[in-house]
Amino acid sequence: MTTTLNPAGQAGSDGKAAKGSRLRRFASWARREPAAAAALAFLSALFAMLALAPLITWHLPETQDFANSLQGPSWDHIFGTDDLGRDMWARVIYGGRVSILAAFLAVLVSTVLGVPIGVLTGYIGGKFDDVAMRVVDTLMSFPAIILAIAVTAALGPGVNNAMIAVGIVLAPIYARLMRGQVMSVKGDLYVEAARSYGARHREVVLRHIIPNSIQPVIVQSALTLAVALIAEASLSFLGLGVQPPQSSWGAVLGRAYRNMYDDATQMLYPGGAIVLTVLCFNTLGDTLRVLLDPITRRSR
Amino acid sequence: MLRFIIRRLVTLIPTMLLASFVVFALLQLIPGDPAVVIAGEYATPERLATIREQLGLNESFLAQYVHWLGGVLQGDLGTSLLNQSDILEQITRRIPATLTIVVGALIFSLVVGLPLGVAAARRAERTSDSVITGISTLGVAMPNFWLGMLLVAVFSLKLDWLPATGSVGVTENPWQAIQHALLPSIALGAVGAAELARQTRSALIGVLNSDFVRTHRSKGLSENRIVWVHGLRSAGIPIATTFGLLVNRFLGATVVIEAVFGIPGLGSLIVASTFNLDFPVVQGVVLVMVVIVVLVNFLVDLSYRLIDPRIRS
Repeated sequence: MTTTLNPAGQAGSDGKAAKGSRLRRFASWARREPAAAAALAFLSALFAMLALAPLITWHLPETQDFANSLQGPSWDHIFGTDDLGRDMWARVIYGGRVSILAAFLAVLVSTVLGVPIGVLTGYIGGKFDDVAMRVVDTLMSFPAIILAIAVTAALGPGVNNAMIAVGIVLAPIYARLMRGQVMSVKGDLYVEAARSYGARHREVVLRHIIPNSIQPVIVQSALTLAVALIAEASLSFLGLGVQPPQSSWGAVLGRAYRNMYDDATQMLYPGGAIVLTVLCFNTLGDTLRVLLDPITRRSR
Repeated sequence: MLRFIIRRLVTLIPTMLLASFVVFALLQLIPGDPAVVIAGEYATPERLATIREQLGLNESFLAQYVHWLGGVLQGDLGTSLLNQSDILEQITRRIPATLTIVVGALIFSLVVGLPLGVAAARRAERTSDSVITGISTLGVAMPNFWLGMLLVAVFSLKLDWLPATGSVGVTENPWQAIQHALLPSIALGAVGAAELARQTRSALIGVLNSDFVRTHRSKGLSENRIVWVHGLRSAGIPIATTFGLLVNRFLGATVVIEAVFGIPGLGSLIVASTFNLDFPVVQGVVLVMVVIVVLVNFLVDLSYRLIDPRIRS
């Protein structure tokens, strides 16, 4: 795979560059990384559609119309209707809002929990690190979705609780990642320098260590968004996430599963939306990883 | 080797203890009084007292844990709050259905993923490599239960080749058991096949460019022998690691797959118990799954030494 410099990184080196040349650089980046550019375009279009949901749908996702249940695609219902006569297009679009926000919530929870633990264990080291990593390793040996279900069982079903549970379960990944980063940055010259002029631990960590070790967290977050999106779909499919009549991609899939014997095409819309979005998050994550990895970047 | 096995088994003890503590501590996450949450707001004081008694809520947290662990070590996972049945008995009754599809999925991942990865590595940077890599990227992005639904729609509803739901014991009727396990195993194993293909490809590409392979080639060894015998053995460690991770992933994913295919296994037990707020059963299932994962990781660790003689010394 060819590797290129991050367009944002280049812009940093010659910050006064005109707007036009920035656009040209972006275009040339898009030509070199067509998959990543396509993923970025798809996600931008998707987020715009979800934000503008009331403008691009003409039925409400929860309005039932029994006279028109299980209809195929038509001009009025472009994705058809479900068994309660609800417009599938509206349910997929409004459901996408819930699913994407839920995925971001899970990533937020896991970063907020995992990153500080990783920073502390990496910075302090020694016995504290041994014990903390033992716990992290043990947590990682739990099948993620099983642990998430167990946490949801305790907190009670519902999309927020389910995604907090997913966030808790994924936090060890961030803790491990951040610990490794901090350990490798800890011995760097600028950290030593900061310490030698008498900076306090707090300052060293916040001003020098975290800014220099946070990059992989961004990459990981793109990949974790994909995992969290599938987790939301799974938990809502099982009925532990989003509660009816609210829709999410997982919940719409769950309903489509129950209607499968009457209309097997309904599952295609929410399922397709999940696959495409996950694919884009993964592609962006992989591209970012190659971009930000100092080894592949140097060998360019 | 025996000494190594014993030493590794001993290190499993703290891991298992820690895991059991996490499983037990899950109960502490319940907001408010667990007895009230489980029995409902309008429960009689007698019912609340029974539940408190059964969960040991009258003792201190640590005493509760020690009490529970003592039971677990003697094979007593407690009784269900719902119907007072023995939890370990419920789990052992349901484990075969789950293990059947998990093993089926592992076989599918190996049979499909390994050859695909090898084929991609041998044709690295060519069109067929891109096609295989593309398919496996798609496979990783596809939610397994959606794939399961698609398989049911095509092979059960449309073509009527295979049953859509249910599970048959291997000992009852092997032929029917395979028919029932086929679609769930594929749905569960597709992600694994994709993952294994990716890992095999990247591990093998490195090996095929190394000096010892060049030596083998110059000695006139057939390309097949080089790839399948020498190459795969050298790329074995990352492949074995992926295989271990897949067991963990499949045990988790089986929850949704069992729901799609109506399989009465551990996954459907934990989901039903979650809805019934039957926490002891939830804890029991989680504990059994973690024990399986830890033991599989132990076996993967042992396999490293068989694959790579350098680790043995």
